Amino acid sequence: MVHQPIEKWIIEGTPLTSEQEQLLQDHLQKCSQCRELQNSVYSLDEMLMQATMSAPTAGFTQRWQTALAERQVLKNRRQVRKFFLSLLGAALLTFGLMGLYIALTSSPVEMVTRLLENAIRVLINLDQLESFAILIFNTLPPSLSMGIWVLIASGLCFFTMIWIGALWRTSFQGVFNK
Amino acid sequence: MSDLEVVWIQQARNGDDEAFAQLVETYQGPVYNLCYRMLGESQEAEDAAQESFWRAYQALNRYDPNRKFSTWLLSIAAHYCIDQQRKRHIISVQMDIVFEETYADNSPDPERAVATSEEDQMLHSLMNSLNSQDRAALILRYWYGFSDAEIGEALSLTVSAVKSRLYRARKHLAKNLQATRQESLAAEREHYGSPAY
Repeated sequence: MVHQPIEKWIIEGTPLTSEQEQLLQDHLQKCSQCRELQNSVYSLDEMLMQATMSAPTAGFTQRWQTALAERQVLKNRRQVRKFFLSLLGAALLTFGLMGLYIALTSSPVEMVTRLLENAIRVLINLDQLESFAILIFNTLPPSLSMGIWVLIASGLCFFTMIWIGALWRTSFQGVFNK
Repeated sequence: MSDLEVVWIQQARNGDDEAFAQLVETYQGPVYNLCYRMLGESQEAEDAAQESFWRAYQALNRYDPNRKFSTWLLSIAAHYCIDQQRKRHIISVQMDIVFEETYADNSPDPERAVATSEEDQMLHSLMNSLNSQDRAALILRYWYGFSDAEIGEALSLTVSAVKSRLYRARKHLAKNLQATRQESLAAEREHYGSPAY
């Protein structure tokens, strides 16, 4: 026996035209299989209509708030870890690439020579910097008033504190994109 | 969506956790129920509901205020539960292989223990036989009265895909219900020693 489109109509449960309704009734009188299917669909619909909404146990929102605080701490830690790992990775990559470039473009003797040259240059520059600083401290202070020196020193302290604060915030609280 | 909810959403987007807690308080029932109907176990449903709210909290800046908040929130929960179901299926297939090789499992089904009434229990096991997407579509239709378009929006499906999923789910459930009833009738006949059996 052909059960289509009767089976489809029964399952869909959408309104039928009078002609379709007649066809359905005629078929149901002859076909016990479709009758049983229709009964099952009715029972199913009844079950689904009567199904209740389940509710969580009391205190769901409090549990959410507690979990939120814990999750945020974890998220921040992860963020900081990711930030410092990326920084470390970038530094390693840069040094690696630099090392590779030097190894490919110069001989070991040249490398050592250049390294020594650069080290000596740095030491000479440091020495000059020291002399420059001494010169400034010896010559400039009398020409600037005490107030200006206090202002400069306070400004430097202020910016240093902001910098430390920003580092602390990034490390412990994380950064949020609002 | 009430005006108060619009305000809470705006405040939560500006970083007010208390405002988001108000949204949690308002929507805990619908989200929990969806998770419970999807996963079938109360502790898992609680965890899934908490996770869904966490995901919503993180994605709040991407929420489009022109959309219904409940549809957006339930969509997050439904997607999460579908993922959980897939993971659980993979794990259960792996576990089944191990158990088949080592033990015969005679323990009662824990999901059955949760269901209280006989009807609820039957519905529970019937729903468990559906695949996760079909189950989600059916839950959104019958428990939340979502239209085909809303289900499609929530589950990222086309309207025709929703229609075909709902049809398939209803057919599957009706046939399973029919088979279950026939089995229980046969068992009853056997129990009472009916000559018809």
